Amino acid sequence: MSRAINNAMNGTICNFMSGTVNNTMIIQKSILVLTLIFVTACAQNNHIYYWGDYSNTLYATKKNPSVKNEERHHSELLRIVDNASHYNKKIPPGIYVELSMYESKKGNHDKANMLLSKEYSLYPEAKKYIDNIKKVGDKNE
Amino acid sequence: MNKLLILLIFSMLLSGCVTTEPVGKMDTFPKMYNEDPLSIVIAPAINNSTAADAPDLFSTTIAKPLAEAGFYVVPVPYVNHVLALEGINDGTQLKSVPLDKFDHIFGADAVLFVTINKWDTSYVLVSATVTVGLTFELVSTKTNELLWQHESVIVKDTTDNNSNNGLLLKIISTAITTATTDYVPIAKQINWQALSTIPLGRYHSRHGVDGNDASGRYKEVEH
Repeated sequence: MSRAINNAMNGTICNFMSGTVNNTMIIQKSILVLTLIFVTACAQNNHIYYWGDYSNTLYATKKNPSVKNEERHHSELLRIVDNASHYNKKIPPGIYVELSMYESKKGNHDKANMLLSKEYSLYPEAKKYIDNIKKVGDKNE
Repeated sequence: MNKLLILLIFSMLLSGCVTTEPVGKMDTFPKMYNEDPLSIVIAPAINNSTAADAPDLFSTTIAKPLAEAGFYVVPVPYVNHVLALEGINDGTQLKSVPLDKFDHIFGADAVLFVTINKWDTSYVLVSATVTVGLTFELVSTKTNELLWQHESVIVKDTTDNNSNNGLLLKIISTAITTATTDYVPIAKQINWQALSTIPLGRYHSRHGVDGNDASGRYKEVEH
């Protein structure tokens, strides 16, 4: 995509310099390309959060429940946490909680609690139920 | 003849007097602005369709658009896990649960109840359609008031319209397209459509300033 702009821009500049006839057409084209890019960029910017492939990998765990699909969803959650800032987006509500559910299933209670604290630091309104989860977790230990 | 003319003019005048105008979100859902809920629990869907797997599949589609509308969504897998421990797998069972329990257990300001009215395919001779119909109701855990509501149906035509195909081929290809048409993308479409009418939550940049946005409702105005 960015190569397309470069080409269009280069085309425009070259033609300005050599003074050939098709200037207006090329300008029109590059405006079109730029507009398209802005439009698609705006469409992405409307989202508050970075979701990756969240809906699809979660859907797969319900449609065809299997260890493999659970693992795929787990790694997608990890990917969302890693990549959100790269896309200039926030980590969606609940991602850390889902991750902590995977850890507590494996018996990694410390890691699970650490992930819950991360959810709480992003979303203080989650405190009430996170305290409930931690209480239950403490009882189980 | 004269009488007919008078009737015609009269009816024209009448229809000229009444027009419909869109109603803004603030006028349609004032309680939403009063209570300003932040944290929402999505209850397992109430299934009035014949598809047993519909609530489970639907549950994977709703958190994203609701969060993008500016609300904190208590994670659906966690809610379903807790409810399953209590023996609750179906939204219908929740109708009798006092709403303040959702505040107590999940810290939720409101509960979103979704009813699946339609989630099916129908065949009439060579034509076929896939239909998804949903009702959304957001209820406060603090006041038990209905804060927001929306109902929507999408019917997707899955008929093979290729006129070159013979009747038998049409029936077969319609059946294949219909069977492989996924309900989930249609449900997602309804979610976005429905949630475009909700007064936006605190994490949305337009929170509190969307009172005049379209709520999808209209009123009749007499001039």
